[in-house]
Amino acid sequence: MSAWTAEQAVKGAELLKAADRVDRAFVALRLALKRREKAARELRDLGYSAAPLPSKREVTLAAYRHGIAPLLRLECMSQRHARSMVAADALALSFLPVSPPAPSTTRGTRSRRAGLPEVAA
Amino acid sequence: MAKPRAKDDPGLTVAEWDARLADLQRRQAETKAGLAALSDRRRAIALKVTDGDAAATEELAGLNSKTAELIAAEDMLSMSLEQATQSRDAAAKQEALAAEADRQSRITATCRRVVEASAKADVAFAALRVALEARKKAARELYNLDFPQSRLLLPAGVQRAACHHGLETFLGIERSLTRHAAPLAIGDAELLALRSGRDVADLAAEDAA
Repeated sequence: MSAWTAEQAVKGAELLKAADRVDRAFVALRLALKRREKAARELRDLGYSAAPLPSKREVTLAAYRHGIAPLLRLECMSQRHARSMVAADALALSFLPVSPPAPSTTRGTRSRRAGLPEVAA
Repeated sequence: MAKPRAKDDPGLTVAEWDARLADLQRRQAETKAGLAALSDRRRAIALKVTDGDAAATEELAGLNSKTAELIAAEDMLSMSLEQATQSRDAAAKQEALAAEADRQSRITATCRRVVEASAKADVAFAALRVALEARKKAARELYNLDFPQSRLLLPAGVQRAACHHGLETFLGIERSLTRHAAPLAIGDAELLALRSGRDVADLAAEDAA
């Protein structure tokens, strides 16, 4: 076996760092999907018929939407309806997490009109 | 004697109304039984009264006044029962409405949790894409630097890592890969170590320095 060159060592370290970040993102993804699955089950138990079931197809389509499918070589029948997870769920529930702010007639900055906290310059 | 208290106790629960109804029904049954006993006694002394028995006549007068009291009591109890039944039905309706309102608010809160979790999944997807692309770029550059470990460029390692992190239940990944599932950092470190013959810890130490 040959020794590392300096450039190879740098790139190897970069690769490992990126791989570590991938692992962390996988963990975060699984946690979020588990939480979503649990909440969806609770919705079904409450008798809410429109509750989106945690389907593989929907999550795989979201992976397509985020451009991950080629990197993971995922297989899915149709990508035509690929949506982000939040868009797909909000559509399924006909529910928006934040209602849009009421239109204001008073003058002010855009963020103030939208009811958002202003950032100091 | 039971007084009609339906409007006096608007805050009673259905269970409390049921207990009150059961009490009223019990008292009504007792009153009816008392009336039946008085009627029997009247029949028993009827012949003596006809024969002019003074004691029997006096007893009959007492029986009659007691019968009148019991009939009035039974009327009151019937009215109380009717009002209590109406109040119990109203309380049941109120409780059903409150339960439905509670269910609706729980549905809204749970919907919010679904959407929040989905938003977090989207953020994780975005972070995953950035990290995967960075890794792919590093692997490609390493390959171009005469580091002939082409297995770093294959998606199998990433798929195995996804399986290791339990994502095969959510994504369309082949289950056969779960046999050799390992975190991506471990898999990549093994591939790099195979090629270089050096401990990966040295590499990390060099990078930190």
